[in-house]
Amino acid sequence: MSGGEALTPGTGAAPPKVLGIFALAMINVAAVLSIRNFPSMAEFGWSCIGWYTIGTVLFLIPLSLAGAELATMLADRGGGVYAWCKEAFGEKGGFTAIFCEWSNNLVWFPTVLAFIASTLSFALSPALSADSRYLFAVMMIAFWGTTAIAYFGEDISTKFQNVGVILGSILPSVLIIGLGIWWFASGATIVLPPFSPEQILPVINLSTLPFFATVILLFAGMEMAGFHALETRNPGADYPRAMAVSALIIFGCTVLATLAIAAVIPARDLSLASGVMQAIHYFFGAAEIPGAVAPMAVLVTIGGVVSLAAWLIGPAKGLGVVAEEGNLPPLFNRTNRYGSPVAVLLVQALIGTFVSLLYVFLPSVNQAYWILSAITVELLCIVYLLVFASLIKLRYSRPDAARPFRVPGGMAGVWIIGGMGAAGVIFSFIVGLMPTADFSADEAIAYVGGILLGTFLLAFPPLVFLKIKRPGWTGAGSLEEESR
Amino acid sequence: MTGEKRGFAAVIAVLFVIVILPVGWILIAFPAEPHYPVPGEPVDNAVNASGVMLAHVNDITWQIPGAMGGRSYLLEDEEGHTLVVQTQVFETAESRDAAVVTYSAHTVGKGRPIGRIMVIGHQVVYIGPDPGGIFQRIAPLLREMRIAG
Repeated sequence: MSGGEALTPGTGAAPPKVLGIFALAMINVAAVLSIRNFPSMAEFGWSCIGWYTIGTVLFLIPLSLAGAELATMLADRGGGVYAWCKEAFGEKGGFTAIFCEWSNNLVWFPTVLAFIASTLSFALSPALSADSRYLFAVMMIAFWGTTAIAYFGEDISTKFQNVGVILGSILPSVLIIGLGIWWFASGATIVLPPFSPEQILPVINLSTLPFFATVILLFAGMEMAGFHALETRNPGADYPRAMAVSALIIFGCTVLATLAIAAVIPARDLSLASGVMQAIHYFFGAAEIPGAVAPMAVLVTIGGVVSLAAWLIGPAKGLGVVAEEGNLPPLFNRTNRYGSPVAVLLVQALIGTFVSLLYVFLPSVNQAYWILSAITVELLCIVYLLVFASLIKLRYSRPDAARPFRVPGGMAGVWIIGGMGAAGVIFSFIVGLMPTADFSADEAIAYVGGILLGTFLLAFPPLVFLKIKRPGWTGAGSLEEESR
Repeated sequence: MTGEKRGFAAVIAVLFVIVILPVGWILIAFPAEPHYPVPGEPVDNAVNASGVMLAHVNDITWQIPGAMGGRSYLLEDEEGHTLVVQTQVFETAESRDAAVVTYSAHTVGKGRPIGRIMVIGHQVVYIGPDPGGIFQRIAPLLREMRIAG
């Protein structure tokens, strides 16, 4: 991916406006809708509705509304959360937000890549999922392949995501829902207990607090379309509609598909230790179409890849804007002829490859994986706290700015939406530091220390870069060196 | 190498370090679990000692490579809360570790996986969603068995 002569400094040349409502909505759906959530949540039976409602009220709706207002207000700026938080809190706030959004991926990529590889093994040979070399090979093909798609710019990656999200996320969800309806209509045994309203209510106590925090961030990624503001044809009108469309698709598919699985598979047989494809295997076996498992594995794999693509491309674009503005050394400010931030993509791919190597080839480090997941959550909490705070702050610091979409309810509405979202992520951040019962007292100290250290190290570099920033970095790029 | 390229290399090195430091530290603090035969059924012992009621138990084999069978327990506390715990023996450390990777890859959204797993010798113990806090009661004994190994 050298393309030396194609490299230009990121001078901010206007990218082609290729995105409409559908494409924007699909970016969010790709980032958020995941089949692997369904069997996990199905373990909760009817109360999954209550848990999903909590995630929707405390996060999905606030983030969708905040994103719609901020993206339409700052539609002429690239960088998504970077532009939003920078407008409210200056460069430190904006850079910290986008860096956390980017750096949490570095520890999360191996997770989604391992999911892709283990799911694909069901279409090839399930025994492969225990072969580290197979896992790593597929992970790298998916990772570098997706990076290559990102290299070819918005037009190609949008087409890839549009097709991929329909095939890999929406179609499998619809299939599961359809089978659930067929199961119900055929008079087969429904393993869910008879419905009653109180069964929807989730049990919230000290034991379920960690899960409560997980649910709040269940819909993380709804801001992803905001990274593509400059490529949007009519952001003022299209962005809020895209947010609404994506929120409806995500909520509808998630709730209905989860209930379909919960109705067919007894909770006792839903072992998450053996993965989502086991649940799908059971599901299609019960429906007497076991031959559908392999094609379904391919579809779910595609869904994993488009989710990876959404998270890989969006934050990298945001960090590319940071480099364009001179907050990173000039060599990071490399944009190719397709408008992609190639230097950021390359650095991201190299680090992701290294972390994936550790993830696959190190022997069983169960608790280490758990801590890395916690670090991902903590970094995301920082991002979303800054986004919700920006929504509130900008209503005071830029009261007269044109806002094609406004959070309804005036200042009270903004405080309610921003306040609920902020309270949810602060709560998630705190709960993320609480070790589970399998950690001993000594291990608990190492657990908290590991999370705090990891979160700090992955969040603080913007402050260092801003400290060592030089005037020559702004708009410098590396064209001169490349032409020599 | 020009000064600019040196700067680029330095920044990449810094980025690697900010990833390596926490990951390395975590890996040192939480080393790999040894693979050894565990006598008896750890969950049986923990449940008996904790006073939690065993409502149902059956044999189960996870459909993943290397899984040699185990048990599925349905535990119940005095208030009627239930907890599903499953155990599975793995014939090799590699297949056991692959199961751990599979579980860890099944996060909900960008968060954590549902439930929890513990590795005790050649066994993987899966603990399902726990609304009643039953895991808190059996965890100390399971933890002792893990650390003793």
